[in-house]
Amino acid sequence: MKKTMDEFRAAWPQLSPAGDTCRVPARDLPLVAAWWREAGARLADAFALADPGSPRDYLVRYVFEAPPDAFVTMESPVTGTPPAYPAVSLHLHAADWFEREIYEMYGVLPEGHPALGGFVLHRQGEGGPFPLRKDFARSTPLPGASCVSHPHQAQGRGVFEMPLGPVYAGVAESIHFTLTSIGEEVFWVVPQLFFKHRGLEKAGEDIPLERVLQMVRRISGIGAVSESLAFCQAVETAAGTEVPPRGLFLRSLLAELERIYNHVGNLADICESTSLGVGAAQGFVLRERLLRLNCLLSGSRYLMNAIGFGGVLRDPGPERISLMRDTLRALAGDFRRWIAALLATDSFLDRLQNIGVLDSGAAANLGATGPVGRASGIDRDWRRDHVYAAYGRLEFRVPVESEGDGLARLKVRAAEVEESLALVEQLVSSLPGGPPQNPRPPELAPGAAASGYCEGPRGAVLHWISAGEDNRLWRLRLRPPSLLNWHTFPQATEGCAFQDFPIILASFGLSLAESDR
Amino acid sequence: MANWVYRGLAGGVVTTRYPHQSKDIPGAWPGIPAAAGGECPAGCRACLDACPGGAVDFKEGTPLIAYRRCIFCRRCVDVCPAGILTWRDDFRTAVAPECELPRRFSSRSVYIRHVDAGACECCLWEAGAVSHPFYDLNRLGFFFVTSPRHADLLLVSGPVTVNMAYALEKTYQAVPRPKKVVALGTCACGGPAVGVGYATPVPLPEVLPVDVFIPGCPPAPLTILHGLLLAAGRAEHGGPDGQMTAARS
Repeated sequence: MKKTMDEFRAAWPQLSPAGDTCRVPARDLPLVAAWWREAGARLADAFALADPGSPRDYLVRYVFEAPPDAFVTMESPVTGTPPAYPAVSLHLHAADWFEREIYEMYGVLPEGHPALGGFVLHRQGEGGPFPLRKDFARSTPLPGASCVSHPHQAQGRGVFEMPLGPVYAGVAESIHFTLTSIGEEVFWVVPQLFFKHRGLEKAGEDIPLERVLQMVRRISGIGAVSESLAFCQAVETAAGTEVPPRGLFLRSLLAELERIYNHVGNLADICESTSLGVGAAQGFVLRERLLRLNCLLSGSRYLMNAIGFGGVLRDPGPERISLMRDTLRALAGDFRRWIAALLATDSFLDRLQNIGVLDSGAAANLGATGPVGRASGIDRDWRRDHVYAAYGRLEFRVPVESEGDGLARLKVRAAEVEESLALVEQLVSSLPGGPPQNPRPPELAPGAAASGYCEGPRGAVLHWISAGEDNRLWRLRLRPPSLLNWHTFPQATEGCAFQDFPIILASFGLSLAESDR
Repeated sequence: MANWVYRGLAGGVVTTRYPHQSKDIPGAWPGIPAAAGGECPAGCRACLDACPGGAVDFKEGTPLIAYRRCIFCRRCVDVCPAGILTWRDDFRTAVAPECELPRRFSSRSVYIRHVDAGACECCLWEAGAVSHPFYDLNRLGFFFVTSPRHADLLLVSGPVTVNMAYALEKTYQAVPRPKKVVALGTCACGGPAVGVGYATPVPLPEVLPVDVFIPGCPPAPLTILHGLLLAAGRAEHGGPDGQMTAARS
C-alpha cells in the first residue's frame, strides 16, 4: 500500500494525499483515475454528496481498490450552476453507471458522458428533481408514471425486438429486457433496471441509526447479513466501537450460513432454468432445510435480525451451535451427492458449457465481483484481501475458474459452499467465549465518516457513511455487488440463443432488490 | 436421465399435509409476537417505544400488535418487563380487511399472477418456495401463471415503487373479473418499513382494493398457503385469536 501511495505522490507532486484520501481538482480527476487504473487499481465505487460545509456545493468521491489490500479515495469538489466536472467514464468504463447515478441523484453533471438520464428515475426531466439534494424533502412525490424506454433501437431486415418484463415469468423480480435478434440469435440485450428503486439512500438520512440498520437489512433480504455487516462495520469504524472476539466469530459464522443458503438456492435456480426438474427439486429441498436451520439458529429464516452494532444481537448458545453443526454435516453429504449427480448429467452440462461467456478482459474492465468475477478469472475475495470479522484467523481457499461460462459460475459456487462448510467447522471449534456484543451504542461525532465492506454471497458489498448532527447520517452510500455485475451482464448475453437467455440469467444469480435499492 | 428418476423416487415424499393435517415443523415459520394476557405494569409503554414500525397499539391497557405493520424483529418481546408480550409459535397471520370471509371462487383451481412491486426478495423466495416440494401449492389447486389474462388472483409484494406503479396498474387491468388482490409481506400490507419516501409514495392498499393481507417479513411459506386459502374462501382468519379450522374441501 505504502509503495503505491509513494508512486502516486511521485506521479502527482502537486497533490497532497492525507492517509488514503486525496483532494483532486475536478479537472484532473479523469487523468488521476486513469493513472490508478494503470497502477492496477479497480474502481470500487463512485458517488456524490452534498458538501457538509456548504450544501449547495458537491463532492464527488471515486473509491479505488488498490492492490494488495487498500482502498484509496479521490475526492473532488464540484461547484457551479449546474455543477459539472469532466466525466471519468471516458477513461474508465467501470464508472459509467455510477456517473449516471451521480447525475440523476444530485444533478451533478459528468461532462462528456454520452448517456445521461432515464436510468434510476425513469421519468426525470432535464431540470430535476434531484432527490438526494438537501433541498429536496424526502417525501416529495416524483412526477408521472414510468414507462419502458428503448434506448438502443435497432432497425434492419429481419431485426426483431422482443420486450420482456417488467412483469414476466412466474415469480421473478421486476426488470425489463429488450432482446434484439435476427432469427434465433440474440445479438444484444439491454436491461433496464431500477423498477424497484425505493430511494433507500435518501431514506437512511436523518433517521435514528437503529432504524437505518433495520432498513439496511432489507436492501436485499437474502443478503441481510452481508449488507448489515458492512453497514455496522462502517458505523463502528466511524464511532470507534470495539467488537468482542465472540461477536467477530459469530458474524463470520452468520455470513457463511448466508453464503451457503444463497449459493444452494442459486444452484437450484440454474437447474430449474435448464428444466432439470428433479435436480431443481432436490436443490430446493436442500435450500428449505438450510432456511429452517437459519430459523432455529437466529429466529429468522433469512438471518434478518442477527447482526447489530458492536457484534451480534443474539448469542445462539452452545446447544444450538452443536445442533447447527450436526445438521450441516448431514446436509453436506446430500449436497455433495447432488452436485456429483449434476456434474455427471451431460444434458445438463451441455446447456451451461460455453453459454453466457464473460471473458476476463470485460470482467476486469467493468469490475465484475463475487462468483461472477471469480468464474472469469478475477481472483478477488474481500474476506482474504481486506480482512474483517474473524477471517484473519481462518484458513480457506478462494475458488477461481477461468472459462467465464455458465458452468464455471456453477463450479465456483459449488466449491465456495464446500469452503463455507469447512469454515463453519473451523469457526465452531475455535469459537471464543465472552459477550457477543459490545453493549455501548455507537456515538457518531458530526463529520465522522467511514466505509464498511464485506464479501457477500453475490460479491463485494461496500457501504460508506458520513455523520451529520444528532447521531444521524448526513449521507448513506450503498454500493451492493449486483450493480457491478448487472453492468457486465449484456456482455455475456451477446450472441446467445433465445432459449439460453434464462440460463444465463440464472447463472449470474443477480439480485435486483440490492442493485435498485 | 433414468438416474434422476431413480434419485427422485429414492428421495421419498417430503410434502407437508397442511391444511388437512397440521404438525410442528421446526424452523418452518419464525412465530409471531402476541399478548399472552395479564396486567401490564402501570404506565409501561416499553413495547410501544421499542417498535420501529409503529405496530404496537394499546387497547384496554394491554398491547395489541397490528401485524400489517409488524416486521417481526422481536424487540417488543425483548423489552417487555412483565412477560405480557410473548413469542407465539404460530404462522397464521393472514386476514381479510372486512370481517366476513372472502367469497369462494366458483372453480376449484385458482390461478395466481405474482407482481414484484419493489420487494426485498425474501417475499419472492418464500412465494417461490410454496411451489417447491415441501409445500407444493399445486396439490391445493393453486397455480402460478405467467400472463395476467389467465389469472384470478394478483399476488403483490413490495411497497409499490414509483417506477413499478404503472406496470402494476396495467397488470391489474389485464386480470379478468372477478379478481382478487392479495398483499404479500409487510411492505405491501402496511407501507414501506422506513416510511413513505419519494420513490414509494403510495402504499398498495391505496392503489388497489386488497382482499387479503398476508403480513410477515417475510411471511413463511405456510403463512402464504394459509393466506391463499383464505383468499379462496377455504380457510378462517388468522391472527392469535383466530381459530384455525381445516379447510372444508
